[in-house]
Amino acid sequence: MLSAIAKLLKVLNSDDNPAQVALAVVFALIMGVTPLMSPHNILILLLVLFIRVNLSFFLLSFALFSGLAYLLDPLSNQLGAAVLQSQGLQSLWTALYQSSFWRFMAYNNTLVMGSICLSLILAAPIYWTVIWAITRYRDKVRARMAQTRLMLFVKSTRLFQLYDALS
Amino acid sequence: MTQWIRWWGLGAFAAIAALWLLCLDWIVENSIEFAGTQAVGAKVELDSAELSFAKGQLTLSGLQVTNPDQPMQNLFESSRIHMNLDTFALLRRQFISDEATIDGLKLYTERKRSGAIDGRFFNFAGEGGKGREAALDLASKLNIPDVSEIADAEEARLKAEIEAMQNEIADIQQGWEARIEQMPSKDKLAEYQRRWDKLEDQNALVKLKGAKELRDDIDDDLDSIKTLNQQLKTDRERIAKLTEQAKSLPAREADRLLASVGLDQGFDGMIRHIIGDDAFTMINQGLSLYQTAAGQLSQNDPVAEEQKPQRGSGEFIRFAEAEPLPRFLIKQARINGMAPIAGQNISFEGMIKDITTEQKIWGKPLTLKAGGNSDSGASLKLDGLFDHRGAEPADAFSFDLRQLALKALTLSDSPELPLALQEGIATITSSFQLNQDGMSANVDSLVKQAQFLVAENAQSKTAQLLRSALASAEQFDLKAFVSGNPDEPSIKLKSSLDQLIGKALGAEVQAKIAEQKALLQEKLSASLAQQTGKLGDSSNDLDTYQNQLDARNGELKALLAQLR
Repeated sequence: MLSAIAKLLKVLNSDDNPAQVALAVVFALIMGVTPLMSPHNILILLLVLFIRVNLSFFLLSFALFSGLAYLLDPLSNQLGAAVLQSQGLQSLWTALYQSSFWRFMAYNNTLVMGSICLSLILAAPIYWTVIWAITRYRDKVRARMAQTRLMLFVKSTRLFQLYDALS
Repeated sequence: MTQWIRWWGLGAFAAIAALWLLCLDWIVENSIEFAGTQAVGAKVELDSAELSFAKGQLTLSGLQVTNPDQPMQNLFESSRIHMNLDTFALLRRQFISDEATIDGLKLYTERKRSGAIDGRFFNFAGEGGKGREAALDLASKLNIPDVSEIADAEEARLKAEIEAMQNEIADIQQGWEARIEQMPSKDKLAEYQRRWDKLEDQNALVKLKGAKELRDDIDDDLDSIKTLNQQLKTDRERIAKLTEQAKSLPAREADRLLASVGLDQGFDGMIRHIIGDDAFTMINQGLSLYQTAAGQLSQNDPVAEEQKPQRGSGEFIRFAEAEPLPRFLIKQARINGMAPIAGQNISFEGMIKDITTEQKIWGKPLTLKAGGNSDSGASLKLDGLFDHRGAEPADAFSFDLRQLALKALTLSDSPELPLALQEGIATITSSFQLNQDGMSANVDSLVKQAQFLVAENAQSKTAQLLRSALASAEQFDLKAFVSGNPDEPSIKLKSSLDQLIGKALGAEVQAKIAEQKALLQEKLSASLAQQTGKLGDSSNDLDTYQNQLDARNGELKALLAQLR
């Protein structure tokens, strides 16, 4: 547990590209909020492994969003039902229904559709918020925090020694 | 760009995919066990499953489906099920098989381990089944139920029935309070008198005209009183009828309740008291099996669709398709196996067509045809049609079993009255129908060359009487009539042995029935006495209204006479 936190701190304090962290959080959002066994998550898993996104942040965010999904399920379900029953989109959904691929993707499931819509709506704001937060932390907060008494205390702890060993 | 690519990640993904493919059979096996267990309500187990996407084939080995009524028994088991699958349909989350073969099908086999699901095991017989068993507990050696239990169970319903009568009478009385208000009042009579007194001082022409108007008004009032009298007569008759009904309720209910447990038929149905438990168990088992199977055919019912989806699963919305297919369909399945009947194994072969959970979408009912023989010459023929396309199921099933040699068949294992059929050749035909009119099933059995055995250790008077009575029975029939609905079937048994047993045990049985009826009537009368007593007083209240009507009628007529 301590080493996992240390890894996260290392990523925050390193000069790694913040987009890699932000993308990990966005992938975790999609995988966590949508039903885990949905076929699109195979693609997300492939992207998480193939694209160099931060795996520690991905795992932490995935756990967080999976918990959040439990609360969001009713909302996602209603949203999905509204989207799938929308009169204007009926011709599109009916056309997709004729395709084995889209049926396999479970696009016609209210929860899958709703949670994907919800995660896509949240993806861009979360992506830019994470990048902004990391950049701001590195530019302003990190240096100021290093001078605080709390930080001096932290530097004397085992957690910091672990973090130091990783850096 | 390369800083964004993680090549080992691609390898890791390939490894995960390979692992998934290696475990596919295991996943299929567990998915079938899980879904089957959910559907049946008891354990469904598989030895192995093999799915080949390339060949489009699925082979299941060692399938066991637990009887949800009896956890130590399988409803059926099959050594091997082989199916040709539409693999594209699998991608669409549809299980479509053009042809399947179900080998080594065996019904009602013993299980080594319990097939109950901890905490979730349920019994299709439900409360009704338990009630019937309780009703069949022998009060003595015969199936006479405990009247106290019957009376207690029915008390609330009967009290409600009498309360409904009381309410109706109260409504009648309230109606009369309103009607009496509308009756010509004393003031109105005084007004008539004043009008007449005034007319007496007028000239002849005015007096004549005024008197006619006054007479007309009084006639109208007399008419309304006449109508009220007629209404009062009708209400009085209704109250008398309700009171009589309430008073005779205990006697009628005693007859009805005894009839409901089969004690109203004289010698008819006597066989029920001896082999009733076993026959009822067999019929309930058959109905339970039917309900398990029929439940799967009606999964697309509107009621089921209205149920909220499970948390985290959502609901699959259907859109228009050129050729819609159900989620599960086996177009035809060849079956072969063994059916153990009365200690004999009958090998059978047959065909089941159009097995689907959504008949409304597929548009065809499930049909079943099978036939077989045993080594000893018994023949079996099954024919069924299960149509769940409409709002109400329309199912029909027939079963024809001939030349079945029976040996040492236990008819009653009651320690007081152990009865077995030592030998016999049975012919059993049965038909079952369920449609919007309800369920109707008949089982006709004819046993020839029969030899009964009442165990020698049973030395009660009843056993001795029965032993001598059955010694002469070489042939008998046994008919079962089932009606009602599968949850709460009404089962009647009738046999040519009824008279035989009746003659032997009739006096004993009839005396017990009469005794129980008197007890039941007495108990019901006691529990309803207070309410029925109140009803008797209701008729007196109407007398008050009658007196008021008579009085007013007399006064109006006197005034009318005065005018003339």
